[in-house]
Amino acid sequence: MTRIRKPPQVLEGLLQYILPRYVGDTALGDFEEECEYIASKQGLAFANLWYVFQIIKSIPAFVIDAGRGGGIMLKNYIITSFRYLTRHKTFSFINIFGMSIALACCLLILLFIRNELTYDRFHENSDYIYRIYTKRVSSSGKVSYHNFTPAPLADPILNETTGVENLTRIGISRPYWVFSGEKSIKAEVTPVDPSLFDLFSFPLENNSKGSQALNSISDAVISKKLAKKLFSNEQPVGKSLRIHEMGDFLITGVLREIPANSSQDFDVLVDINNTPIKANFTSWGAFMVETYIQLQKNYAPVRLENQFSDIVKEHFPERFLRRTSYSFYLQPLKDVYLNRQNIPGIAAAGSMPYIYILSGIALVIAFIACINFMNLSIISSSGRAKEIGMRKTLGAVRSQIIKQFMTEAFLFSLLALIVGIVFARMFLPTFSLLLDKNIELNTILHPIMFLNIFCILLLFTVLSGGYPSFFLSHFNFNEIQRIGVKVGRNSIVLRKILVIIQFSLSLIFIIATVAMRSQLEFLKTRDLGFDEEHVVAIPYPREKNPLWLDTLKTELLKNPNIVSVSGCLSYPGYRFFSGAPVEIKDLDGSEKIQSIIETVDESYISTLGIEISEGRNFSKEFSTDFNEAVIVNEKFIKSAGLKSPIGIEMITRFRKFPKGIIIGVVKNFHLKSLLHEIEPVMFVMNPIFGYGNVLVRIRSNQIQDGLGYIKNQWNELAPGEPFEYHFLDSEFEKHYHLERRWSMIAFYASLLAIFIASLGMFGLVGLITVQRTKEIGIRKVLGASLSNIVKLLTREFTTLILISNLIAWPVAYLIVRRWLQDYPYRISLGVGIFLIASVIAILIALFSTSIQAVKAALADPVEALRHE
Amino acid sequence: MKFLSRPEEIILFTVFQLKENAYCVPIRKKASEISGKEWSFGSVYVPLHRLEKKGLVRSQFDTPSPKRGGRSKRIYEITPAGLKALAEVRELNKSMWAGVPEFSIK
Repeated sequence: MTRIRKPPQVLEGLLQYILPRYVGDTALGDFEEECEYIASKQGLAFANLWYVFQIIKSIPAFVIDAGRGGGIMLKNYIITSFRYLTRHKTFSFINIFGMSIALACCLLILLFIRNELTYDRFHENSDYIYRIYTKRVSSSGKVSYHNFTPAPLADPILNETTGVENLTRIGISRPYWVFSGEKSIKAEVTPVDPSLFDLFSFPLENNSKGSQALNSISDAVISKKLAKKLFSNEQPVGKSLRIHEMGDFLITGVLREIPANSSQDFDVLVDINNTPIKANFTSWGAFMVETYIQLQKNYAPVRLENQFSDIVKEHFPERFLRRTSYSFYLQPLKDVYLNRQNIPGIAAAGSMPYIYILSGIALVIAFIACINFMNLSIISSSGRAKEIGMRKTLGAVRSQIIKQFMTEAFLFSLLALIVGIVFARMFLPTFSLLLDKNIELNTILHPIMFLNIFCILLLFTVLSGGYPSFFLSHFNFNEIQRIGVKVGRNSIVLRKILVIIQFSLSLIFIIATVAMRSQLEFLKTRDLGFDEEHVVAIPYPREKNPLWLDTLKTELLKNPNIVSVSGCLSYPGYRFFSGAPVEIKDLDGSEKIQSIIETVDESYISTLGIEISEGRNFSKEFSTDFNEAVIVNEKFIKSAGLKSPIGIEMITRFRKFPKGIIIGVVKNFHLKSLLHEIEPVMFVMNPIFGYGNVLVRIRSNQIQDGLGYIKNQWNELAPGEPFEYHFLDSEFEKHYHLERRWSMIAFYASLLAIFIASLGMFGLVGLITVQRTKEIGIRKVLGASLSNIVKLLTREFTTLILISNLIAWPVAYLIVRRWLQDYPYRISLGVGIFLIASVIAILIALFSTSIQAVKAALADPVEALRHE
Repeated sequence: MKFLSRPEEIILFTVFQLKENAYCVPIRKKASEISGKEWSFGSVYVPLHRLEKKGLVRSQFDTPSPKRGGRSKRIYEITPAGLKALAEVRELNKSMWAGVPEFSIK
């Protein structure tokens, strides 16, 4: 039995509409027959594609056909549209201005989306490159994913599997000071395999092969940007480069500028096999490199994934597999940036929700602008009734009237698009800055973008012209001549609904902005539990041993501007590794809690101004403090369920610090940013990992002098060691850049939304006022005051805005509450935020309506009544 | 005589050749075979329509079949005028090449 393969109904309908009338119904049959023939030969999908292609090909004929009877009319429509445009300047201005702003938004966001979706596509082999990711299953059944792999994994993959064309590892990059002659700069140093340049398409300046550039293990390739900074215009190749704590390297190549939509960016590339670096990359337990592989063409990634399990079995050391099982999978390079498979726990620089939210914002703004066009067209329809009547008398059918208004909407959209492109050009730098992206306008010329923009144009046309054209075309000629256009009850209700929608949407934006701002302000100003101001953190030189701290301390404290000095491993606001398990002795069972462990010294607590709630601080007087004393925070006590914590013993997993005794408890304070909850922390005095930073509290009004003094002492005590410092308060604020960005985006979105909506309202009131000129005149003659008239004209809109509030509040409440849920420390959603937003919206709306109303109210009634 | 355009000429020829079965799908296939390149439906419909207007072909609908989604075919048939026009084209081609004994691209 032969199955009849029919083309989809929708397509068929579309084709029927588009095909020239004279080929008629039979043509559809022809197409269907051919489609079926193709389907039987090349498959249904191909047949459908062919069908769509046929539709596209028919479009020119369709246009010509439409022109046969409509060409002259089309010209006429265009002429009338322009006439209308020039005669109703306010109306046209409001429409085009509002729409062009909305279109500019759409354009910019389109550019952004394109930028996001084309990440890493510039690599020649991008279709065959995959990143290996790790799946870890712990003995308790907890599953976690990781985009890092152990470095030794590379060799067995290269030697024992099939299907792999090439492999490269990219180690975790770290900021290092790099020196060349007199100049020093902090730069990201990334250890990689030389094969990086074969896999990826990162060309070098002089077109030489990058894999040869990293020929010897003391070679380095640097970015063009860094080369400019270090050598300005000199030729960097052949020069030597000293990387702090790593040694001397020879610059053998300069990377050409990496495209903005690359998920990898490098300053300095060194060979991963270089000895001091290699030490970090030999353990199977250290997940420190990203492994990228290039598959042979047509080799299914699953086939390689299946071979990984053998490698794990054979090569993974026994002791790592005792508690955890590991397996490895492949993620296509194209999906790395956005993590499209949504693998939990895998870091991705981009995010799909981000794209969705931004597109949503653009669509909402577009919608608000289109509502303006709808409302203004309908309300001004009475002025056009005669024109429509005349057209109908002369034989225009309804579909022609619809065509006329659609043409008009299209022309308006087209004009708005042109202005919109200019706006987009103007906003582009702000927009790029806002999203921290390097977005260029010239991608607009890409064919796909062109198509997208055309679709947006059509969307605008349909959204804005759809309802008015149907509304205006249904007028009955007789009625128009007899009683004029009566804007029916329905359309008034619709207008009100549309205005309510506009203002509800704008209000939601405003409420979100206010809420985001307050949350950001809250994060910035909340008491951290210690005094974070006037404290700087200076990285402790890695080459100095912990005893050097005392030398530094004595020297620094000689200056009266230095209040106190303390050594520690990390510092509040900087990254902390998540906790290690700690066992509490003498407790039922073997209670384990996860705790951050931090090395401090005896002056840490006083330097930061942390309060001790129980017990005592570390002290040098007690010789045992160094080896076993532990101070914990209150959260630790709570998690462990300890009643009287002082003197409790614990067992840790650290070889150098196997057991501890709690000697004191400090009040909870924020080690991490406010985006994280306070975790259990234990402080030890023993620098088991060495010191990482020195904290210095400087007298509050002597910051500059204090810093100068520290710098001088530093250069004397640690010559050659770079001096850099971070203020703790600004370190904390750095964590809130996403919040800052989103509150800025919300701010701009609400600004545009309320602006366009108010513009529309301004136009509406204007048109209504014109229609009611006589009424206002009579009222004034009969003694109505200015405020009476203004009230009369604005009352309707004030009510509408109040209704919008009723709708916007609950919706915004739900959105904002959902957004706040992700924050452990958040503002409480009080009425205040909503009131502020509403007052802002109402004031703006009242202002825009009142301008027109007052103008009408002040007009001379004689003028108004003399009309006839 | 009125000249036919080349597409019209080819389409007219295929209608003549296909006899009873001359509707759009086979016409297109035949025309593609003759000229060695793909003809779109549009480029078949338009000349056919023009030929019909000139009275060189005439058409009628056959009974609808379920195979084509219940739509009838439009069967074309060459008219005597069409046959005459075809003969003229043939003559024209002949006389045009008459004085050229050998032809090769140099």
